[in-house]
Amino acid sequence: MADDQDLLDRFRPLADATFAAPSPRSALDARVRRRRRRRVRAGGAAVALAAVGALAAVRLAGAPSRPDVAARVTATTVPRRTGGLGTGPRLVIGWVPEGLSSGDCRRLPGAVLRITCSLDVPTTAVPDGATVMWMPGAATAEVRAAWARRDVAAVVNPLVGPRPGAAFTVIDGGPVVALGETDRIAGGSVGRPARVATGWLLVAGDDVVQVTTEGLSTGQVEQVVAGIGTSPENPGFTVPDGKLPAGARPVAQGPQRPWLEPDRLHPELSAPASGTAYGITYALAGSRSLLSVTVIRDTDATAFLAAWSDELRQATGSPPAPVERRGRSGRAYTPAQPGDRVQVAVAAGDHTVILVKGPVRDLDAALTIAASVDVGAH
Amino acid sequence: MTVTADDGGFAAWYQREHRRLVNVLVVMAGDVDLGVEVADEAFARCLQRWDGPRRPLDPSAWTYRVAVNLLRRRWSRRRREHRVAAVLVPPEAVELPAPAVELWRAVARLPERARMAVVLRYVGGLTEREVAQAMGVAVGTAAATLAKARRQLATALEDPREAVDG
Repeated sequence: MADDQDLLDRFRPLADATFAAPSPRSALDARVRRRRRRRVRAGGAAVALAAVGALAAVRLAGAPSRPDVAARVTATTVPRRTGGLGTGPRLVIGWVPEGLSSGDCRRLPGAVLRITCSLDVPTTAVPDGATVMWMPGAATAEVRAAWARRDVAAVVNPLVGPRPGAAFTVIDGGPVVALGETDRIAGGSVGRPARVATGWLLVAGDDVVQVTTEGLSTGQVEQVVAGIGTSPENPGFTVPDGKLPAGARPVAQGPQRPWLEPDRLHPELSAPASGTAYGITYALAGSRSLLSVTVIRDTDATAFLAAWSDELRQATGSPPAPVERRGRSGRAYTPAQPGDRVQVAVAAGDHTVILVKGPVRDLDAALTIAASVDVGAH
Repeated sequence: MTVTADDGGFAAWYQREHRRLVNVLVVMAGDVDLGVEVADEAFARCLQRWDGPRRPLDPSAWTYRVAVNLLRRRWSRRRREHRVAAVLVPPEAVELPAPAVELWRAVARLPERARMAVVLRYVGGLTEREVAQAMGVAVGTAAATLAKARRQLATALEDPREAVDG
């Protein structure tokens, strides 16, 4: 049975079967037109303007645009609304590879806006995963020009310092600088294998994105890097602008892969939550703390809330309290420690959950947002 | 699998590749409708790029990769449905010889990764390198996955009542 040729022969009837005739070319053309219309509608006029601006900036620099990852990833989320989306660039992580979970985003200290988001391997005790750092406006005219002519040293040196092994490469049709090994932690005297981090650098318009990965497969790294973008895309839900704190600005968005961790001591028991999720993270005026809104669809809302509450209880030592507003009920956690974030999860129907984190210690604001998010008909 | 971008245009390439990709996806998904839908979407995405600057150098490899990723995402939404026994039953509309039905059922019970590798290799006829490309893994990983999958398939064929451990 294990013989390769024998299997090829045995599978022949399945390989030769006719399950469906080819769709007519006109059907494929229509599908392409629908895809294009969806993409045009995705951002509405404002977003389209921003995209044109970003594209123009990229073209000024002479570099090809980023691959069509956003459309691939959000194909199941029909773009409809743009409320609370803003028009400026932000970090878009368009692809969370299988086996990784979406971690939090945070703002780095300092006057200049720098956002990092993490993608973690949740099933291991070691910190494998990817960290994506968005540096808006960090690509100077010199860097953009160097990017256009593929001058790797002139791109890398001013951004991260000299990297002798750095080289341009192409991932999913887009140019990327592979920085090579950026960090190494020796295994120590007990003979553990060394932990090696590798880095990647992308220039998109005026922005720079750096990706650092550790312990990921080549395929996972390629998916993360290929999914990076900076143009807004429609999340498929609306956050009413009036409910967001004044000055809130989207700084990161993308499809997410939340995992539930039933036992903190046994990460191998972690599993991805059912359904699909999409999140937006906002920077708030005068605060380093970020606000995130995530909508999880096609899930069992009751089961999700129970598992989420249990996980939070394990992590914090106290169960989140029941909350209800505008007919949406769920649970909320108010941190005892300064610096920790409020977390609210409410059900919007039987199969959709809205999760809001932050701002700091402001339960009412988070609950107001969770109650007002318009998830529409899906 | 390599088809050069200038080889006969999209229509000829589409006619050549359609059956193989559809069969791969149908058997992989255990669902004719889902397999055909994903294949159509993947072909449409390739068509969208066909005349542009981002035309894939190897359209077949590119389309397989896109299709596998599309199917993975659909699976993540329909995983629970696919656990039910319905996926173990081949479609009545397709007449298959008894050994092929047995294979269909055995494949449906393989873990996702093993199922992908087996179907790409033995239904699609892809080489190990092409399987790796389609699954987005290293060649060595694909080879190891295939080797393990062959053992799991043998187990599934020997005892069709038991689930196959990943």
